[in-house]
Amino acid sequence: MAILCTIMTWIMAFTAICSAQSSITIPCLGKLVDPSGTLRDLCGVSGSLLLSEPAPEPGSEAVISAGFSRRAGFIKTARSLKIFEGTVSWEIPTIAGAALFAFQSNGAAAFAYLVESGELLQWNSQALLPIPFHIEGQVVSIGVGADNGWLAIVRRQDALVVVSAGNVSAAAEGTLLVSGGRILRFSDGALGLGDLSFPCDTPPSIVEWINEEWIHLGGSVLRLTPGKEGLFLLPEGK
Amino acid sequence: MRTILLILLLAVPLQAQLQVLYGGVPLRALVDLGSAPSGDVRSSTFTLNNVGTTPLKITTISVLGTGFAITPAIALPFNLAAGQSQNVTVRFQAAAPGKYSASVILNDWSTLLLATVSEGLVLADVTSMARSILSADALVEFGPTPAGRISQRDFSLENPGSQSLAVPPISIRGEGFQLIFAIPLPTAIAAGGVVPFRVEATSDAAADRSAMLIVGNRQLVLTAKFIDPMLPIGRFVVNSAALRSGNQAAISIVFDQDPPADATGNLSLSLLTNSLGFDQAIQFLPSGKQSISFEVRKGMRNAQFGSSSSVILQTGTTAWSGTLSFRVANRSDYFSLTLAPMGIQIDSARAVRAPSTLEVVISGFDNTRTAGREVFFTFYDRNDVALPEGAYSKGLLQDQFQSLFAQSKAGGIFELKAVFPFTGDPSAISAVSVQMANSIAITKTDRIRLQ
Repeated sequence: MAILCTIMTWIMAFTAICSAQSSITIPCLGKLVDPSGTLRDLCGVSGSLLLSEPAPEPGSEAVISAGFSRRAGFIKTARSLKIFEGTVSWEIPTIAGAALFAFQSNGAAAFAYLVESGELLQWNSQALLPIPFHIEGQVVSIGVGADNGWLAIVRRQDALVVVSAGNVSAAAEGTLLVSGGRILRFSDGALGLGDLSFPCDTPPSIVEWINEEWIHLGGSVLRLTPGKEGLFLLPEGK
Repeated sequence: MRTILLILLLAVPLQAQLQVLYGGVPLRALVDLGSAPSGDVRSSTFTLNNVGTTPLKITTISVLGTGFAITPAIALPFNLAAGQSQNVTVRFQAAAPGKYSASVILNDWSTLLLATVSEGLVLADVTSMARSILSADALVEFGPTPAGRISQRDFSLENPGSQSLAVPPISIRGEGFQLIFAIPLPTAIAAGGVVPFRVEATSDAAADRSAMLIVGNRQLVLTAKFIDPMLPIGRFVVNSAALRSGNQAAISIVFDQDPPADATGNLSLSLLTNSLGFDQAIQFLPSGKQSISFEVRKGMRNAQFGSSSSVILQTGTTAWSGTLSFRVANRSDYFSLTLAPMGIQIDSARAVRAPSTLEVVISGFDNTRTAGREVFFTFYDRNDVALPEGAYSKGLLQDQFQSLFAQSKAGGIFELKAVFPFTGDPSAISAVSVQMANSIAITKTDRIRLQ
């Protein structure tokens, strides 16, 4: 830690800024699950990405699904679902299978959907609790609606719909995710994000949050940051 | 007859140290190979045993007679150790019907070989001037041919006899081979007549191919070796504007004509500067290496990297120069590229207001790895007016930057986190901007709104 030895004081509003502390490190965007079920750090910046070496802890279970924000994360294995937020963590036993996750816009953990059992769990800052969720069809993704309630992209027969508590509306074919008022969609060999389009040969194999601005799509990652959107290949991505 | 009688007399060995066996029994004075159709091959093998206790010098192995030959040839003289043996194979083949004979001499042993050739069609390979008669189970090798081209051999079915003979069915079994008849196949070949035909072989990639040529009850094995194709000229297609630090640039290899066949090639990147030691992000994706293989496919002008017609080169975050080069079959090309030094690039910037601190986080890269010379923070009040003095560092962060870059193998990427202890009304500060310099330029962020 170096000290920026400047003290700045000014009169107005009795406000003072002084003695900044600084650190300089490698930027790491977050963690993602590789095809072997190992969590790995994704470091770098747009256009220059590196994955940490896979280093599973001895005896650790393979991760099936994971989702992260800058302040919280979900990790699903065959036997349990773990959530951590700040210094709080919570783990519950679950049946095997994948899970889908959603975060609040401020990065707080919100919902976890267990694919095999069809259960939707809500994080209330202390515990993960099941909430009523009776959805007909296959849940493609979950998210947080405008009222901080859940919403889900659901495939019903040949149509996709957006379902939230009390509402059902049609979704365009290929819709993968709705987040922050923007729709992520795959169609015609491209990944669409709002008005933007990125060439993409095949539909993403997974859609998982790395943090609020980055999504893991299997062999690639998508940056959502307004004005800096981009689709980037991952090292060892295929 | 005199000759035969003389040979019969000499068939008895004069010395007991050499024993010659034919068919597992001591050689007799006369060996009849029987009857064979025109062009067919008869082989007979003699075994020379040294039954003595000292080495035996073999000085003579010969066969005299039309259509007979020792195959493979044996270099003379040689010593046959005590208790050792040596096989000698005599091959007979003739086209014209009739009776044939030859004398075989093996040191002091000798015998008379007899063979009869019956009326029949002769199959010959007439591709070159050296016409060769083919046995019923002959192996015919097509010469090495570039993939995508046609390899061919010409054959003739001949009737050397005195009477017309029926033409047997002719067919071929094997992928990539086909029969070509210049004229419709007749039902019979008159005495002295010839029916020519051709076999063509093709392959879309370098490979060893084989087929069975069936002519009546003869089954000949055909083999064709296809080597790397002769490809049209291929060149790199690169968007030069994309070749800058911190980017994933598409690289294509395009041929000026349709490739005639498939081939596998390799694309590699070699750096003139030793950047790889400290920038492991420089790599082809998704291979994660500085080389990657690709496929050339018949009729497709773009080389294929997996299912894609281009490959991504992640340029990393250091300035470097190097060469892209590819090699495939008979073609190669190279492309020199330089990623110029540039000012610090800001990838993300955020500022967070907490009850007692202001935290500013800047991530980006410096492809010169000289950052830290100057870092200025300018805060703005709620009216977006710059506060009279900035919190700044005059080179004090340089040590931290250099420490990071000295250890990092991730190129010029960095994340600077500055935490400013804060007292007073937190809403009095609305934004911050950061100015950073490296050896090339000064970079200033937009105003970063405090969250």
